[in-house]
Amino acid sequence: MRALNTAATGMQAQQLNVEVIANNIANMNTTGFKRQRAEFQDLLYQNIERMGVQSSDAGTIVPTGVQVGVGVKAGSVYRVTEQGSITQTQNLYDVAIQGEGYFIVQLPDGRDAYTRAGNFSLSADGQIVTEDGFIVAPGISVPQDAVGISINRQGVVEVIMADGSAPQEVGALELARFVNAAGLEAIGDNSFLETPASGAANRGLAGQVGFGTLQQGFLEASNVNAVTEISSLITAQRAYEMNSKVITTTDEMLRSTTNLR
Amino acid sequence: MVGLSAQQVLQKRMDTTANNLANMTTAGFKVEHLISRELSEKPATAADNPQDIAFTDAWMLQRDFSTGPLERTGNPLDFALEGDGFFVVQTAQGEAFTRDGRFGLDDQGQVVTRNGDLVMGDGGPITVDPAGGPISVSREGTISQDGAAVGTLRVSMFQTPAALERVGSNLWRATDEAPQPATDAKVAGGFVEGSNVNAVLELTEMIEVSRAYTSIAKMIAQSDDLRGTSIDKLARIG
Repeated sequence: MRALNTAATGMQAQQLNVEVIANNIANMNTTGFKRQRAEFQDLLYQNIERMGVQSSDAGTIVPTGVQVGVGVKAGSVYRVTEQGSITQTQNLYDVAIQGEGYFIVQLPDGRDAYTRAGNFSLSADGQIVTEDGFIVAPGISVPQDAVGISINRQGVVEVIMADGSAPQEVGALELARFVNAAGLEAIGDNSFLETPASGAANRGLAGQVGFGTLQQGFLEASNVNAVTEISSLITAQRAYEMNSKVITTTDEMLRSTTNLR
Repeated sequence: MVGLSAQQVLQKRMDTTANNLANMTTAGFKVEHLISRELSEKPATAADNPQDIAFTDAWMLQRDFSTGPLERTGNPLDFALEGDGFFVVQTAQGEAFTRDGRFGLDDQGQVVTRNGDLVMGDGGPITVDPAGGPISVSREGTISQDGAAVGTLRVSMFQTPAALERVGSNLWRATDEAPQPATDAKVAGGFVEGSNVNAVLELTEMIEVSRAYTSIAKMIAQSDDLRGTSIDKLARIG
C-alpha cells in the first residue's frame, strides 16, 4: 500500500519543519538573524484512471479521473528577510541597518561575506572589525588619539580628536544589496555568501536609492516571533502525529489481510 | 471476489487520505477524496443467476477547491488568491497552474516560483528593478515598484477545475478545457494560502476505511469458513 510511504514522507517533512522552527527559536536573540520557514510541495501523482477517458459507449467521459498522490517533499527552506526590530544599545560601534542592505565583511580567505549584524568594535590597530575580528569594508582606520566616533545615517564615519579640532571624516561603511537576498548562503556567524541564486552584490552607500540607512548605537534584533514559532511548532507536531496514525492504521489493515488464513 | 474488489478500492481511499494528511502543511494544497462506483459488469458466476452481486471500482476524485486559510507572512513576494483561479507558471513542459503563491526573484530580478519557473504576467514574465525600492501588489494582482506598475500577475480559471491534472510540486496542468481569465479572484500580497485539508475529516475517513477493510477481511474469512464447513459436511454425507 502506498499509504505507508506517503505517511513516511509526511513525517519526514514535519521533522524538517520542527528542525527549522527549533533553529529559529534558538536564534531568537541573535543579532540580525532572519527567520526561516520550511516550504513543502506535493510529490508526483500516479494516474490510475486518466481524466477525460470515455466511461460509456454513449460518449460520457470521466470528469476528474483518479490520481493518487504519493506524499510530500520539502521544496525549500526560505529565509524571510523582513526587518527585525531595532534596539538601542548605546554602544558607539553598534550599527543597525534600517531597510535593505548588508554590511560587507572581508573574510581571512579573501572572500567577502555579508551580514546584518552590526555589532562592531575596534581592532588593536584601530580598524573597524566584526566580533570575529574580520575587517568591515571598506576598511576604516580610526586614529589612536580619537576621543569619539560618529557614524551618520549615510554610513560616513567621523572621528573627534582630543585637540578639539573639527570632526574628521575617515571613511564610509559600504553596504551590499542583492536581487534575491533569500538566495544567499548562510555560513554561520550571522554571515552569508553570495551565490548564483542571489545574484552579484550591488555595492553602494547607505541612503542611496534602494539602500537602507544606518543608525549608530542600535542593533537589529532577530525577526523571529516567538508566538508564531510556537504555534507553527504545535501544528507541525500534530501533523507528525496524524501521519504516524496513518502508518498505524495502514498496518492494522494489512494485518487483517495477513490474518485471513 | 466482491470483497476483494472493495478492499482494493479501500486501499486506494487510504492512499488518498494518507496523501491529504501528508500535505497538511503544503501551501495551496487542495484536498481530494476517492469516489467509488458499482460496476455494471457481472462476474461470470453471477451472470445466469439473478443474485444482486456487483463489483466496485475507483471511479473519480472529488476535489475540494475551497480557499485554504490565509496566513500572513510579511514577505512581499508571497501571494495568496482569494476566490477561484490559479497563478500561471511557465515550466519546461509548458504552462502549468498553481495556487501556491510563494514566489521569489531570480538573479535577473524576474518573479519565479521556488522551483525557478517563471511566473507569468499579462505580458509575459514580470521583471522588477533589482536596484529599485520596495514592491507592492494591488488586489487585482498588479505589482508595483516605487509607485510604477511593472506587471500584472496572470490569474486563470477553469469551469471544472477538478478536471485538471496534478503533476506534483504544487502544479496543475490543463486537460481538455482551455484556461480563461479569472473573474472574481483577488490577490492578497504578503499572504500565503495554507492547505485546505481538514485533519478531523481525514481522520474520520481513515477510521471508516480501516473499519470497512477489517470487516471485509472478516467477511472473507467467514465465507471461507462457511465453504470449508459445507465441504466438510457434504463429504461426510457422501
